[in-house]
Amino acid sequence: MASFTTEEFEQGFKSLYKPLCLYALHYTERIDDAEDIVQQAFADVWDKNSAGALIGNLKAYLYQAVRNRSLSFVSQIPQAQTTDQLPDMEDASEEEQIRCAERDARLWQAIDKLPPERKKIFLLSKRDGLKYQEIAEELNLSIKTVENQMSKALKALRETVVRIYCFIFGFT
Amino acid sequence: MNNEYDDKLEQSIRFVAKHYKEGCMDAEKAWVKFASKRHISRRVPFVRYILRAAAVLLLLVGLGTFYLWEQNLPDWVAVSTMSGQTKDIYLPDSTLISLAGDSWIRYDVRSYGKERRVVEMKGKAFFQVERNEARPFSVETNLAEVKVLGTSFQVETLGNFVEVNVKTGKVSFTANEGDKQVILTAGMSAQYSVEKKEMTVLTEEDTNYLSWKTGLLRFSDTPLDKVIEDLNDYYQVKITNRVKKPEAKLTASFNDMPLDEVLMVINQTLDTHLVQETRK
Repeated sequence: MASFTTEEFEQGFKSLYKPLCLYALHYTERIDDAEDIVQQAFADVWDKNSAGALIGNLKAYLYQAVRNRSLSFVSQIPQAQTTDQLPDMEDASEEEQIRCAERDARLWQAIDKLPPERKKIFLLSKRDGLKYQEIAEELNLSIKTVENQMSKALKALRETVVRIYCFIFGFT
Repeated sequence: MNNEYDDKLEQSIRFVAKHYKEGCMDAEKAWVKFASKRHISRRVPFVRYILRAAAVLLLLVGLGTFYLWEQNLPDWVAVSTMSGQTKDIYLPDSTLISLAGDSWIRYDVRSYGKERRVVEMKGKAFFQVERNEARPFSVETNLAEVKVLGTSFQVETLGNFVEVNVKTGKVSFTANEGDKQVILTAGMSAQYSVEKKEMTVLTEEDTNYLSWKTGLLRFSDTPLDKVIEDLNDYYQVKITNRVKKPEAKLTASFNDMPLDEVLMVINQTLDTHLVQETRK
């Protein structure tokens, strides 16, 4: 007797995939590796489930599995560059870490939904570290427009996060 | 607390932005990849499948019904005339209707000629029907129906009467109420009276029923009362006879002549005194 049906598994996969990837990303620092690790973790759960093993809390189990896989993945890399970032994550409680991953997933999704130009400006600033003046020159825009777009983008991101917090506190 | 929260949020934003790549970490795409590797077929639960099928079916049935309903709605063509005006109307099958003054016809373009050819009318109209035995032609009035295959005939509705005059061919003349019916052939006329609920075949041949169309008034040994009646009808006036002469009969023919000339000819011929009543 398996723990869950294919439909339940698919549902779990779709809702947990992104937070798990972002969770793994804190360790691997590379999206491809993070996605691979998450895929493997799910594959493992799927095989265990098919074999009839009982998995009580799928979410907790997966976060644990992804963490273990990420740690062993990182330790295999000779130039272990990431250790300076680990403490920050490792300090937090498990619950805190999951919540952080979920928030990151929400942020990622919010960036996905930004209008193309606003997204471009946002990424130039936050990802590539350009100053507003530099972005304005690069995109041939006034600095005012850049500021304006940035504040709208940040507002959208903050709002999604606030909404999650309301959601969490409203139901726990 | 607030600062700590903002700090963490800023940190998160920085972290996510740093790694953000368009189109990555897509749960749907990842699932497709995962499922295809493991041959997990997407099984839609049976009930949901049925519901979906039912919804689609319902939509199709709805659209189909609407289409059929819309197709069957009549698309009327109506023609009417004012007093003194005449009009010729060709129907899609090249049947010709000549409409007298103060009359009205209509037919449904969608159904006309599909199985039957139906024209509704009021007033007076002369029909020259294109022969088509597979699709009977019928004229409907408020009191009676006239069915033909292919002939020429006239129908006139007059308050409580319907009169049919047949010029060529054969027509069937049926009252809407009751079972009164006559078959008329060329040269015959019949009248249906709703008061008497009677169908009367007129034996005397009416030579002038088509004068509104031909412009020709012909009298052959015709009693004066009938002459006056035809003149009233043709000129749309009211004529009175100041000298009573019940025995007087007229034989004459007028081709669209002015009324005062016609009256003068009659008065001189029969020594009568016909005058047109002046309208008040």
